Amino acid sequence: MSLAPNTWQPIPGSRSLEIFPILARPSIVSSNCFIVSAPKAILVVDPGASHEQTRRISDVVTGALSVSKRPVLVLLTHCHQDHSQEADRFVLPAGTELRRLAHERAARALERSDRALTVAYLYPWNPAVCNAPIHCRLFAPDGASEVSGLTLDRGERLEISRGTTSWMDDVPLGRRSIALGDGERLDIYHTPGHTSCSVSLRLGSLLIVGDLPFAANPGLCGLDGWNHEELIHTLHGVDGLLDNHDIATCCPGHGYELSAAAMRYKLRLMREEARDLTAVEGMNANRIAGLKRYTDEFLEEASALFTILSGRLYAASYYLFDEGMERLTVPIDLDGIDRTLTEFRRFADAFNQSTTPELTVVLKGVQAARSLQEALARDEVQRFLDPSLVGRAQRRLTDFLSIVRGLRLLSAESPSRVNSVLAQLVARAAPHEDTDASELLALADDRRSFLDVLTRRLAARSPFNQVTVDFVEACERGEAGIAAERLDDIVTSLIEGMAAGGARHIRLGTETANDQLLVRLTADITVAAEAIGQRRLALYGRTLGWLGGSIEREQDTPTTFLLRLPELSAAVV
Amino acid sequence: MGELEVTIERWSAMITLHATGPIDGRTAPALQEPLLAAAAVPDATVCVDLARVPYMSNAGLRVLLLAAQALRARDERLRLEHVPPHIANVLSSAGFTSFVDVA
Repeated sequence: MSLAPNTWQPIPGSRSLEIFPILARPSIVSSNCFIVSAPKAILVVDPGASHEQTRRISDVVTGALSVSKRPVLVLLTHCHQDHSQEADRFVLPAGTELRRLAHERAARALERSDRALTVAYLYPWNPAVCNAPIHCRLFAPDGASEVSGLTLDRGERLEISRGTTSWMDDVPLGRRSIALGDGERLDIYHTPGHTSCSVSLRLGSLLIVGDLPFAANPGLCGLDGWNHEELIHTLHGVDGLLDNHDIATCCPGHGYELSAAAMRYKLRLMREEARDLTAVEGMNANRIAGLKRYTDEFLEEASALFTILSGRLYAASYYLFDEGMERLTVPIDLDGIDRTLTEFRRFADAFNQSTTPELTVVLKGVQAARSLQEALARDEVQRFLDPSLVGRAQRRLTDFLSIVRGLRLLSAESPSRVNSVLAQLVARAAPHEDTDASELLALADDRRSFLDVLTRRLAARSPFNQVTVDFVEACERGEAGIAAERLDDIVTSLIEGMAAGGARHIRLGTETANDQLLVRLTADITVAAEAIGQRRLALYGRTLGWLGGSIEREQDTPTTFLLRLPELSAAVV
Repeated sequence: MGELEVTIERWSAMITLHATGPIDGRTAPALQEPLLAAAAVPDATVCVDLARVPYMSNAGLRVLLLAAQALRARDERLRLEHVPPHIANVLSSAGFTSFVDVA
C-alpha cells in the first residue's frame, strides 16, 4: 500500500479508520505528521515543529470535526523537538476537547523543558520546548500511577488496556490499547532505543514507527536518551510485530512510508549496524560542533580524492582519444560522484548564511559519504582505478562514518613499522615505466579488453613522476601507534601537495626526539599551504591528535612538515 | 558565490576565458560552451584564467579535457593561468599537467 500525502484515505486492515499523512521535507527540523479519523476520536500523531505544518493540521482537523465532533488526541512517538514542538499550537473550534498522550518519560522531559532529552539544543534559533500538560502518561514505571482511561468533559471515557505483544520465541514489547469505537483499536507499543520514550502505533495494518528506522544512523546514535541495549531489544520486537500482526505498511517520522518487506530488510540492516554500537560516544553540543568542523574538513578531503580519481580517468581518456574512445566506458558513475559532492559542498556553503542546525550538515555529510561508498563498492572500480587512491578514499569514508557514529575506532589502530611503510611509499613514488607489455599483447585481438587494461594503466600513473623523494632513515625505533595505511595516506597527501606546489625534490626522514618518533618532510622550495589545503591539513592534524600525535608546518623556507607520531597505545580518542 | 561567470578576452591570436565562481556539476556547462567555441577558432591559443575559481569538481576537469582534446587535433595545448594552489594539486595529482600547460 502506498500512502498519498495530504489527502484522506482508508487505513487497510480497518473498517472505518482513515489517515491524512502530512509529509514534511526530510530534515531534523520538523517531522511528518499523521492525522487519523476514528469513530470516537481524531488522532494527531507527531505534530512536528513547523508553523506552516501546524496551520495545515488545524485546517485538516477542523474539517474532520465539522463532519463529526469528537475529541482530539495528540500522540507523540517521542519527545524530540522536531516531533513535539507544536503539540500545543493548534487552533481548533471552540469546545473541542484535546488530550495529549505520550510515554511517561517524554511527559517528564517536556514538563521540565529538558533541552538535552528533547534535543532542543540542536537548533540555533533556541526554540521553546512544548511544556503543555500531557494528560495521559503511558508506560509509567510503577504502573499504579498510570491512568486506565481518558475521561472526557461530558463524562465519556476512552478505556486504555495494558498488555504486551506476545508470540512464540520473540521479544515482548509493552503495549497499551485504546478503543476508538466501531471495534477499531489503537495499539501503542513501547519501542525504546532512539529515545527511552519512543513508542510505535498500530492502526489496522499500519504501523507508525517514529524515528526507529534512523536509530542506528551515524549522527543520531548517542543522542541523549539513545540506548544500545534497548534498541537491539526493540529491533527484534518490531520484527515480530510485523510478522504477527499482518502489518503491511510502516510510516516513519521522516520520509516516505515503507512496505513491511522493506521495513524487515531495514531492521535486519539496522541489527547489523547496531551490533557494534556498544560503546558509542554520547552526543552533546560540544561534540556536534566538533563534528561539524570535522565534516568541513572531510568535505575538502573527499572532494580532492574523488576529483583526483575521476580526473585520472579523464586524463587516461585524453591519451585514448586517438583510439577512437571519445567517451570512457568505465564502471563508475563519475557524474553521480560529482552530483553528490556538488550538493554536499553547496549545502555546507549555504550553512554559513543560514540558521541550519550544525547536525544537519553532519547528517548531509553522512548521506554523501554513504553515496560515495556505494560508488566505490563495485568490484570493477578496483580494476580501473589506482587501488592505493581508491583505498585512501575508502578509508576516509569509513573514518568519517565511524567517527560520526561515535565509535572509538582509532584507539584500536594497529601499530605500524614506520621505516618500512615510508620505504615502500618512496619505492612506489619513484619514477618508473610499466614495461611489462605481456598483458597488453595478450589482449591485442580483443579491442575492448585491450582498451580497458590501457585505461587502467594510464589511470594508475603516479603523479610523483615529476618529483624525487629521498628517504633518510635516521631512527632505529620501528613502531608507532598509527596504522600503516593512515601514515601512508597522510605522507602521500603531503608529497602530492608539495609536488603540485612546485617542489621537485623532497627529503623524507625519520628520527626520534624525547622518545617520540618523528617524520619530517622537507621540500626544496616554499610551498603554499593552500596547495594541500588548510582544512585537509587540519584533518590530518585532527586524526593524528586523536591518536596522540600531531602535525606542524615546522618552517616555511623551505617548506618543512613535522609529524609527531603517536606512541604505541597512546590513542586518546 | 554559487554561480559561474565567464568573460572572454581576445588579444591577437590569444583567447583568454576568465572564470569567476565554482566550476562544478551545475556550472560547468557555462564554461564548456565558450571554451569549446574558442578551441574551434583556427590558430587561436586558448587560455583559461582560474584566479577567481574557488573550487573545481570533476565536471570542471571534464570540460578542460574536452578543450584539450579539441586543441590537440591541431597540435595545440590548453593553457591555464593563475591556478589556485589547491586546484593545481588536483590537476597535478590527476595527471592533467601532462597535457595541459599550467602557467
